[in-house]
Amino acid sequence: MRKLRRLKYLPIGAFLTVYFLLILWGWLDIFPRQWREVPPRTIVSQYYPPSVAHPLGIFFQKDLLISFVKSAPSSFVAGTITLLPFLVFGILLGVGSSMKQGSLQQLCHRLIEIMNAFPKLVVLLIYAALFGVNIYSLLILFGIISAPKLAELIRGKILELKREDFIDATIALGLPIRTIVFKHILWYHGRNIVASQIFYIFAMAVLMEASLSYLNLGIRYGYYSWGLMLHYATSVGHLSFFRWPWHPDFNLPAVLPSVGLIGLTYCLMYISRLIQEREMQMKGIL
Amino acid sequence: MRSLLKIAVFGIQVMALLLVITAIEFTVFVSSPAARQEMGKYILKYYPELVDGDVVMASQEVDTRLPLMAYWRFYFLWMTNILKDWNWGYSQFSGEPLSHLWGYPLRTTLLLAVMGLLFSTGIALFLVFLQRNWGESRPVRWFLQGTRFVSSIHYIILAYFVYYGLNLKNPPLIIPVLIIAVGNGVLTDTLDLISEDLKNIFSSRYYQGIRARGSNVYRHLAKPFTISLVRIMNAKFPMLLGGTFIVEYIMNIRAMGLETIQAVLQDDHLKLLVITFLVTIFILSSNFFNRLVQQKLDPRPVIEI
Repeated sequence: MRKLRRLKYLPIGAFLTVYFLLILWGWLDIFPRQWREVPPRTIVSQYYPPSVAHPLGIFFQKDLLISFVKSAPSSFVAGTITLLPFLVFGILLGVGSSMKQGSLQQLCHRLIEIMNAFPKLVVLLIYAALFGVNIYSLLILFGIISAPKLAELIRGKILELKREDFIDATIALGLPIRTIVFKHILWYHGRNIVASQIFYIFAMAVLMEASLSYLNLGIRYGYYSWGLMLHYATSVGHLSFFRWPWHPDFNLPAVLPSVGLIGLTYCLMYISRLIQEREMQMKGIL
Repeated sequence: MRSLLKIAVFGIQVMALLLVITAIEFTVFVSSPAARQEMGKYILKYYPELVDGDVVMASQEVDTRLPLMAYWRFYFLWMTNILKDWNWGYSQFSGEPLSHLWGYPLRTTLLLAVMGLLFSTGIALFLVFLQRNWGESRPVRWFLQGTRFVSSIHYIILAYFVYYGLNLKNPPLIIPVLIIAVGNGVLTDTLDLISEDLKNIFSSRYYQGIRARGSNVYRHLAKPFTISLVRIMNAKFPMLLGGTFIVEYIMNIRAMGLETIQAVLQDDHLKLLVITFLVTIFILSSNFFNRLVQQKLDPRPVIEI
């Protein structure tokens, strides 16, 4: 029975292993020469079905497998770039808004309210239109405007623990406030919250990168992304989802990035939820 | 008389708040060199009298960035035109009047967002009911797992598969509404938040007191539950509005989302400014409605910690 329970996590582990292998492969950029050699474009089709020379076919003058593999690092970089501003701003805003009544606390509180009020995608669209930036700047901004979620959780944790006896003990021992907040509250009692939010925001960043590249915003020539693959797949009319996968008209250019995005975000959200459940189990709620 | 005065004071407060927020947004727009350039062209075309003569004389073909005061003069004139004649200006790309955004595009976006919110809450309530009553049953657990999986799919992919996969060129509005209600984790989030609030309510002393007295549970829990439901819906509204924009673009529905993305791609900054104002009005209205309901249902003063 215990073995069966462990098997529950097997698909998640397998998918993440494949994802990391794809990232490595994409970064190393090692592909057989015949995959890189594509026939000249014809008017008839933008998509050539799988063949011996191209295992997943050719799509817009590129081997589909190469495009898929090279897109994996883009999603990973997107997640990583978003993480840093998200963590820094989230923790600072959370700690600031849980301070004693004062102008700093009010400022942090209002900032959280304002940042929560606006739709993130709309803010990113307007920022892209005004400042004409690349996708990485947009992802950094996304990390900053997503920070209130972490800030609220941290604020809740600090306010919850403020009344505990051990905090009084640390104050009586003369420990500095930063040690109490960052070590005794955030590290000893709040790291599960931060870990769960890291996985959540990683998933959200992957999806945001796909959305922005689908909309052709902030990307440069030679950029590979699952969202961009999905965007190009709209222009091939004769392909269909309701065919067998080996049929030449099967819409592989759309299915492949969709499987990547759905699988990756589901795995990350699942891990985030597992950590949250563990936190609740520790509290005795579940 | 007193209530009339209160309404008048409230109206003035709302107008002042809107003016301040729009002024801040306009400042952000003017701080962008690209927006200054494009809006400079617009001012020179429609309101050349706002610019000093010597500035107009300089070649404006290449660099149409004007002095800051010209933009502020334009802002006040623009606001006056809106309040006096409901004239929101003209699209910089096509030249069509921007007041048309208040018609079909706004109605459709609002309909999609509000219906998506209501559907999402309704489905989440049904799932909570299933979870609480038959949570141990295996088919129910599988059903909930399946729903969680579908809900974790992003709007892009859901909308893409429905629109291109099912080849729906003119989909009925219920399809985008369902996509907005379910996708991007909205349904799962709402479900989790409602379950958590219900747990808190059921573990409260108030609920235990009602049970001990044998009073009508539904009647007494309606108020705290409505308060938490309205709070959850208000918190989810911005996310759903963002989702509506992208679903509209993918499913080619002529509404605010499509207009926004077209404005971004065509560098139509005045249209973007109008859309930003409209989104601000949506958000302010949603927050105002939330506060109103909270105050009506729970008039106790709120002490901020």
